[in-house]
Amino acid sequence: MNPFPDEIAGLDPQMDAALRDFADEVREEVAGRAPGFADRMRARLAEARRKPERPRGRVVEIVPERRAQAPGGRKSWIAAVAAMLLLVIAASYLRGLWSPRDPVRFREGGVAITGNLEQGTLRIVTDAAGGCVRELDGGRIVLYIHHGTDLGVASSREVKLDEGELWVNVRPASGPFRVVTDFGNVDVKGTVFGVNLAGQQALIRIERGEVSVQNSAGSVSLVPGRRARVSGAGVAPVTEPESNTLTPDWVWNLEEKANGAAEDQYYRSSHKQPSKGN
Amino acid sequence: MVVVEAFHRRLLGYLYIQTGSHDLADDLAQEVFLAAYEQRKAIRSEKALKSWLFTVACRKASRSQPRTRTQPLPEPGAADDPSSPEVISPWSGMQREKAIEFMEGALRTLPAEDRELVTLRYFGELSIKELSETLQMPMGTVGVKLGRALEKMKKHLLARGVTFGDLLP
Repeated sequence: MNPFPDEIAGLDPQMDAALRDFADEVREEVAGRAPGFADRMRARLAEARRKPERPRGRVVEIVPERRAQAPGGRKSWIAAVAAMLLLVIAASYLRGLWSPRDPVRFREGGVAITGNLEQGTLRIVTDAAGGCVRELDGGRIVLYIHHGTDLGVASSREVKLDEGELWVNVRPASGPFRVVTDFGNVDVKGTVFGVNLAGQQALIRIERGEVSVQNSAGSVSLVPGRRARVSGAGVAPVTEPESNTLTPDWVWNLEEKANGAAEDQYYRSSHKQPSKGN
Repeated sequence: MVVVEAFHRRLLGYLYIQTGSHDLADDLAQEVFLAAYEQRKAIRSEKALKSWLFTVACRKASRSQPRTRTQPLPEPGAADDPSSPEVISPWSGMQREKAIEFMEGALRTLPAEDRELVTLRYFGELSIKELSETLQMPMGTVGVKLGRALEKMKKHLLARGVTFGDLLP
């Protein structure tokens, strides 16, 4: 007798019959090796019936065994998930407290930052209304990037100014730092200075410290009270008197905004923290 | 007890093929029936009972086997060693014991998932719909997988010069 109400399309009838016959044989053999199975089961079921049933009124979900879980197992899962959630929350909280300062301290207007510093592909481009304060070397070097600037950052020690204006604050004993332009390079040690690419020339002004401006045609040393002008790659840089040696207002504006943004962030984060004793 | 009478042979046969041990099959079958007794209020009908019993039996059998699901059971006897297949040709006068040994050998070479499907079908006498419920896979998938598993068995037997027809009494 075919016990199956359904058939598998394309199944070899001999294969099907042989397997059914095989199963019959094995079942008989196995049942023959388990004499009194029904009696033993009767005894065990009778024993199970004697056990008190679960108290009424308690809702017990009854599911097939593959989905069923021991109550202890379920509790332990819930505890494990809760512990994981607490860990994630704690990690997020601590990360917020201990995370290093964002190297981009401030940005306004249109600022496009692409690439990354580690690979030497970092590029910062500001539009006509943009501005940005970016730190390098853990804050020892601060770049103030004016609007309309295109700056490539090759490393923490060298940037390439392709367009616009850049002021740099290099803290004393910070090591060498270089601004590369098409007209020449500016090497500094512990100073505040600016490089402005204006038309077909580069103007370098300095507030304090000393910088060396050089290109293939020559080099000059620049100190406060003078500015350097580089008109072309083949023209040696020249220095000339500079009445305004102060850092321009736009740099201070950016600095103030960056500090204000940092303060806002601090207050926001501090107000999120649970207060104790208040 | 009606349930035990109705299903114990099928369960014992299925569990024996899955575990390879008569004692273990006996123990697991008892556990399955006890579990069914404990969950009796949740089992809605006789049809549901059949799928339920074999679902539980599947789980108990797989838990008793530490192997991965895709690893076939070792074949008993050197005759089933793939590196030195015993080719018997022409085939004649095969004894029943030998036929069962060949079939069992072919079944044991199947990956665990295929073997589970074939044994549920033939030892548990589950329909395609019941297989679908028990294994939680679409009915079409059950048919395709079962057909492929049987083809594997057929190839295994043919490599030894045996056809399914030879194994019929």
